[in-house]
Amino acid sequence: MSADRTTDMIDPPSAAAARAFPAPEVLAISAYPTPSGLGYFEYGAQDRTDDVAWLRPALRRHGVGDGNVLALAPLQETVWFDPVLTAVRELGSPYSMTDNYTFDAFRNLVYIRQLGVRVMLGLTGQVAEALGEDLAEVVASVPTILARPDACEIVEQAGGRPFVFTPVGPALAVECPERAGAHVNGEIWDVAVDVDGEVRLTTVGRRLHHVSDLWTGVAAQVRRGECGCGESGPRLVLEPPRLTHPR
Amino acid sequence: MSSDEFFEPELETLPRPQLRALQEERLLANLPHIYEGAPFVRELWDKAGVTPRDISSLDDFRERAPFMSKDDIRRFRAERGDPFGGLLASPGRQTTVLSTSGSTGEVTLYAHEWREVHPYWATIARSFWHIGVRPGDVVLGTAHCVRGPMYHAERLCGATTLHVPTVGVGNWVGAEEAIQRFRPVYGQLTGIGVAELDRLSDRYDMTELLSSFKGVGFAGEPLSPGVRAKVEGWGLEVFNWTQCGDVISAWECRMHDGCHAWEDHVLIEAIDPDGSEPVAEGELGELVATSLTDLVTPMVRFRSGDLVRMTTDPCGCGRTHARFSTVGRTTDQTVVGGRAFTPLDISACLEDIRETSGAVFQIVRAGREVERFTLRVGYAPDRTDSVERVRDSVLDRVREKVGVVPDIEMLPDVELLASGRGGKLQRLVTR
Repeated sequence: MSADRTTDMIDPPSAAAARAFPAPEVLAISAYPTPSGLGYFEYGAQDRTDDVAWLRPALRRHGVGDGNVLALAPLQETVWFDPVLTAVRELGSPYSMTDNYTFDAFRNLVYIRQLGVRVMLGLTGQVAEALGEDLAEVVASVPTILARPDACEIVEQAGGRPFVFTPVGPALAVECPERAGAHVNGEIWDVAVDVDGEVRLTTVGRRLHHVSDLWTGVAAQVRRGECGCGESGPRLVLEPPRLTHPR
Repeated sequence: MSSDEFFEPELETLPRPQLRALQEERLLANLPHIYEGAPFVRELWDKAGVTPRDISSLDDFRERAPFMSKDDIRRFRAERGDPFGGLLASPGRQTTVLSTSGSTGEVTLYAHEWREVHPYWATIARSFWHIGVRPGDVVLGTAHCVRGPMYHAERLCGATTLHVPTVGVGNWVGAEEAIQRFRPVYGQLTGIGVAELDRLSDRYDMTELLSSFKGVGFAGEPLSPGVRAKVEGWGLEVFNWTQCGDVISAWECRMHDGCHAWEDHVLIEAIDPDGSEPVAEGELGELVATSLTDLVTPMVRFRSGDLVRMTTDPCGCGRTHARFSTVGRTTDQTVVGGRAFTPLDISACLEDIRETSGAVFQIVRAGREVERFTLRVGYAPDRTDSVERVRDSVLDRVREKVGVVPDIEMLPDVELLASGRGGKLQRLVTR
């Protein structure tokens, strides 16, 4: 056996054992908020494949692939973050993960100070507040921050210019460097705004779970037409930030 | 190919002579790369006058290879500004860089290279399969990503992960409706989680609520007999699991007689805590771990600080990999007036008292050997009519069973739990 065994040990034998039977069609069951409580939905293997394909160029535009990535990726939000992190891997950026708990805020600083971080994904208001004065260091050290709506104003007050990154019901919206709104995947989703200014989501493409005119709890305006980044799907320009997934 | 009993039958039941041969093959193949690539390992070995050329067998390794400790790694990191403490043997090959939780203060970084499945969670599929997770099952997802994507383990078993937004670290708050609807077969608990479920037991028939579970995992701190009995009282089979020297995890099987280390991935030894010689099987020793399959930030003869009893005796489950039981940490003991005790001893006292049965507590002390210490005790307000009476009960129980007399601070358990980190309440606090 050769000394350089790294290649041999990519994906250990346990992964091979799993290929003996079909992978689950339903990878996960997750939930988004609705006015009457949690709305559970199934997330499938094909959904994930489609999401990864859409996210790869979206993340590449922000410099993923050019250095370390730090993702504030709660496991409860796996259906949104698993394809994100898969795209990060495919783009070749090493990544680290932290949680949306105030007690875990300090680990973001550990990664930033010890490794250097090129792109930070998913910063929440809760963690941004918990970072306190250290947020200024985060803003100064990390070239690109994609933040939840409830974190954006806090990051701006600390001197940053975050991009919006947020679940919208079962979908994910990611703002591009053009800063013309947060894109949703137009191949899968369409969005409209109701009389209260709330975004309503409808499934228009291939998906295990279909929604129609779903209340999302996100207040935004919708922009359409091709964006300077090349994406043609609808864009959400968020009204004053709100927490989309209350914990 | 998986069998009904084993996820990877050939590896899980490999006869010990062949297992040892596999370990030796992997170790000898890895050592040159690790020595050349990891600056701390090279420095440590050079200081000991050893190189990989001097190691041609497992026996040579045990005789000659130097030990490393967490303090050694931290020192190297601090002195050289090396975030990996000199253990990064394959720079540029990191897929993920994760860390320990930092629940006891400092954080240690570790890295892995992988493509589809994180290796730490890949081997856990073996334990999930043993517990009974099968294709089509639903697993209640955990909520702390400190060790990365736990959901890889259930995915490998063909199961679906149920992510409940309100589920926190090791606790299942708000999961009742989801459990009743989706009938998960497995979930993960910590001490905090058991305390939360204990409170739920006032409102629910827990046996009925949890009837879909084939088992639950418990990790993050030593599992006391009282906590195990409480969870088993709800009809759950508890599978304790732990870290194996920060290399890989080790899990109990159905025999519940120690945690199996996956010896195709880790070389484990039990060493005299005050020396360097191996202890006899079954005797108390410090767990020492060497990675056999991680070439990115491999541990080499890493002294974990865990006090264990280890055995390679045949196990009733059929697996041939060694088992160990963790007795505590080398730093866990407190000595008061010459009498030594551990957090487990205190836990046993509190579990006997209804108002404190969640065993939410902290030992506040100035050092390991003290004249006085404070016991911070969390009580369940909705079960407590007199805090003073509960305080007296705690004092009597600790004096009687442990033989020490603490100063006692009583506070509502939720308040004390809120100070926890990483799903764990730090049991020993220095003040």
